[in-house]
Amino acid sequence: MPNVAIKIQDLTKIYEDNVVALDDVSLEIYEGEIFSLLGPNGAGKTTRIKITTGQLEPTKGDVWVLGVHHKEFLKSPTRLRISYVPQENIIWEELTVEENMLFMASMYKLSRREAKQRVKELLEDFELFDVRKRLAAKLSGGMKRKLAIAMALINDPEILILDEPTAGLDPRVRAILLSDIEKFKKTGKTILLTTHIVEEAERLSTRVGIINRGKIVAIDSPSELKKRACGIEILDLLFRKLNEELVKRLVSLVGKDNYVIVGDRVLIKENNFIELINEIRNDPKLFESLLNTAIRKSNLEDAFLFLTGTSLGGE
Amino acid sequence: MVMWEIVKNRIKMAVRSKELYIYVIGFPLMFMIIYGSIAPMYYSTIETLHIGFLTEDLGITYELGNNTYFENYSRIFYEYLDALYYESQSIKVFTIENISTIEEAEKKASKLDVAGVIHLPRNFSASIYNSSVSITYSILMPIIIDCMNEEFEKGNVELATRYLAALEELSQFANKTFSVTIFVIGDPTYSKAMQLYELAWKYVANFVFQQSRKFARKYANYLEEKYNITIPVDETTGGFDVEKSFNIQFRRIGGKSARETFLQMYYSILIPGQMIQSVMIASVSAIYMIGYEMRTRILQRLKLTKVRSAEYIGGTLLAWGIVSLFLGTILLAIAIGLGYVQATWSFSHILISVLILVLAGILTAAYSLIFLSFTNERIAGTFSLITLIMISLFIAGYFPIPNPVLGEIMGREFTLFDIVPWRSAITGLRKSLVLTQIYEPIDVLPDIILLLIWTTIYSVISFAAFDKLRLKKRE
Repeated sequence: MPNVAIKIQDLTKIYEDNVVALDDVSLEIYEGEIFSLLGPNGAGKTTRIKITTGQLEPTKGDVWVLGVHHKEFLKSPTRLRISYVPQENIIWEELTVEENMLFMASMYKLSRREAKQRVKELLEDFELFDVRKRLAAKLSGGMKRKLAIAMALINDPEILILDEPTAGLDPRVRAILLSDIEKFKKTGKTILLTTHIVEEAERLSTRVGIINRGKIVAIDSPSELKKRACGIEILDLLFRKLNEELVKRLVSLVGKDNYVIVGDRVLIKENNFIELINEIRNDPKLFESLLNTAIRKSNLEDAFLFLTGTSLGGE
Repeated sequence: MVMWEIVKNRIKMAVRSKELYIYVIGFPLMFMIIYGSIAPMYYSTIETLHIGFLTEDLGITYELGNNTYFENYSRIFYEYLDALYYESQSIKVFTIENISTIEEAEKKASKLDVAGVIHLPRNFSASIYNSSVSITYSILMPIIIDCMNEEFEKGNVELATRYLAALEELSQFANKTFSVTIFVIGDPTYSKAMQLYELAWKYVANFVFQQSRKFARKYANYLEEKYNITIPVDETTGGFDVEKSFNIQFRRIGGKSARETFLQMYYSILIPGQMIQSVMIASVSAIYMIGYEMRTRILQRLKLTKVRSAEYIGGTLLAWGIVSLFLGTILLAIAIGLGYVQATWSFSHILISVLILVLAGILTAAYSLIFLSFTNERIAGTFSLITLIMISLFIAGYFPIPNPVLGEIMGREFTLFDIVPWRSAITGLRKSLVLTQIYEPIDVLPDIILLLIWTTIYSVISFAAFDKLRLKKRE
C-alpha cells in the first residue's frame, strides 16, 4: 500500500451565504499518483484545494498533508514541500520570464547559483528558454500558464496542486500543456488536479474522484470508473425532439436504471445494443424521430452522467 | 536576501508600468493648470496685507541755492504706505513690520509670517531725488517757456529775461534720467506675496509722482524767489510714463542673484509640493501592484514559501521609498532642465532630500497597505486617490488656506497641516531643495524627525493590519 500524501476526512465547508461547497468529503491521495477531481464548475473542487493549502478554514473535518494537520500546515516546514497553481496565473506581468522564475526562487531562499540552475532546467523543460527575456505580459495565454506551472516547480515540490490548469486555453495549447504535465508522471511527484475537462482527467490521472454538489460520488481509476458507471461501451441515441412519450417507450425497452438523458440525447448502458437497435427500429414512433445512433466506447463524461445524472456542463 | 529581491523586483515592476508615468507627469501638470487658472482670483481680494519693511537707504543730501537739505525718502515712503486705505472703504492697505536683515526678511516670507517684504536699496532716496528733479524739469520747463513767451509778446523784456535765466538754471536737470528700483521679497506661490507685488507697482509710482510734485513746487518756489517771477504750477500739471522709469523686482525667497522670470520663480517654489504630490498620487500604483497579488492569489501562494511577513511588507515599503526617490528625481530633473530650480546644494542638502523622498515613499506605501488590509484594490485605489488629491491640494501650499499654529517642535512651528504626514516632507524638501540660501541642513531636522515619526507610525499600523488581515488570515 503506497503512503498517503493527502488525507481528507469528513470535510465540510459551508460558506456564510449557506452555500454548501463540500459535504462530508473523505478521500486519500497516495504518494506518486496523479489524482484528478472531476466535476462541474461550482462542485467544490477549488474549495477543497484552498482548504488543503491552508487558505480556507473548513466548517468541519480535517485535512492532513504529508502527515501535517491543516491547522498547523502554514506554520510547518511541510508547506515548502507542496506547490500550488490556482486558476489565476501566478506571475508578475511586468517582469520577464526569467525574472519571474528567479523572483519565485528567491521566495524559497535558494542560493543564486542553485536558483539559476533550476530556472534554466525548468525553462528548457517547458520550452520557455527562448522567451526568457520577454515580459510575462507579452506572453500568449498558453505560455503564461506554462510559466505559472514552471514557477510552481521551482522548489521541486513533492506535491503539486493544479487547479484547472488548462482552463481558458485553446485545444492546441491545451494539448501541449497536457504533454508537459504528463512528463511529471515519470518524476514520482504527487499531483492533485482539478478539472471539468474529461480528456484531461482521463489522459493524466492514476485515479479520478468524481465530485458533484460538494460530495464525492466515486473514486477509482478512469477505466474502473467507466466500467463501474456505464460499462466499456454505450449506445448513444440522438432524437429530433425527445418527449415524454418517446422516453416511456424507450424505458420499456432498456429498463429503468440503464439510461441517462442529456437534452435530446439518450445514453444507454449494459445492454445488448444490436438487439435494442432492432427493437427501436421496430417501433415506428421511436425510429421516426431518431436522428443518429452510435455504439461507442464510454468516456469519463458518460461515467459522470450515469453517476450524477447531470452533465459536466451542469445540465 | 529575499527582502532585497522584493525591493529590486518591485522597483522593476513599478518603473515598467505605464500608469506610474501618468501619475508622475500627468497629475502634477493637471494641477499646475488648475492652480494657474484659479490663483489669480485671490489677487483681487481687498484685504489688509501684513508686510515687512526693510530699508538700507542712505538718504540724500542736496543743495538748493544756499540751503542744504537732507531727505530720507524711505521714512516718508514707510509713512506713505502706512497711511494707505482702500478707496471708499475703511480698510487699511498694509500693516507694516520693520525688518532689519535680508535673512530675517526671507525667513519671515518663507514662513508666510508676512505677505512679502518691501526691500529698499541703499540708493532709494537718491533715485527718488533723481526722479523728482527729472520730473520737475518736465513739469516746470513748459510752464516757464509759456510765461517767458507771454512776457516777450507783451513787451516785458526784462521780466521775460528773468524767466529765461530761471529756464537756464532749470536746464541743469534736462538730461537727468532716473530709475527707481525696489525689491519685493516673497514666495511667488503665495497669493498674498503676488498681491503685494501688484500693489507695489501702483503705490511706488504714486509715491514717486507725489514726491516729484512736492519737489517741483519747492523748486518753483526757489526759482520764484531767486528771479522774482511767478510760476503757476497746479496740482494736475505733468504726466509721465511711469512704467518705463520704475522697476519693482520680485525676488523669490532663497532666490539667487540671477534674474528669474515670474514663471521660473513660481514653479521653483512649487516643485517640492509637486514632487511629494506625485509620490502621494503614485501610491495608487502601489495599491494596484499589491492588489494584483491579492487578486491573482500570488499572496496566497507566497504563504507556501519561505518569505516572512516582515520581509514582504518591509520589502514593499522600502521599494516604494526608492520608487518615490525615482519620481522625485525625474520631476526635479525636469525642473532643473527648464531652469526653474537654481539653488546650490551641498552634499548634506542632497542627502536630506533623498531621505525625505524615501521616507515619503515608505509613508505612502504604508498608507496604501492600510487601505488594502480592509478592502479590495479597486475601492482602496479610488478612495486613496481621492483622499490623497484632496490632502495634497491643501498641504502643498497652492492656495492661501489658513494654517493655524498649534505649537512648536525643536524651534519649528507645528501647524494644523502638520497633522497630515506628508506636510513635513513638503516643508522639508522646500527647505533643502529650493531655499538652501535661507535654511541650513540642520534647520530641516525638525521636519525630518516629524516625517520619521509619521512614517514609523504608519509603517507599524500597516504591518499589523496587513499581516493580520491579509497575510495570516484564512478565508
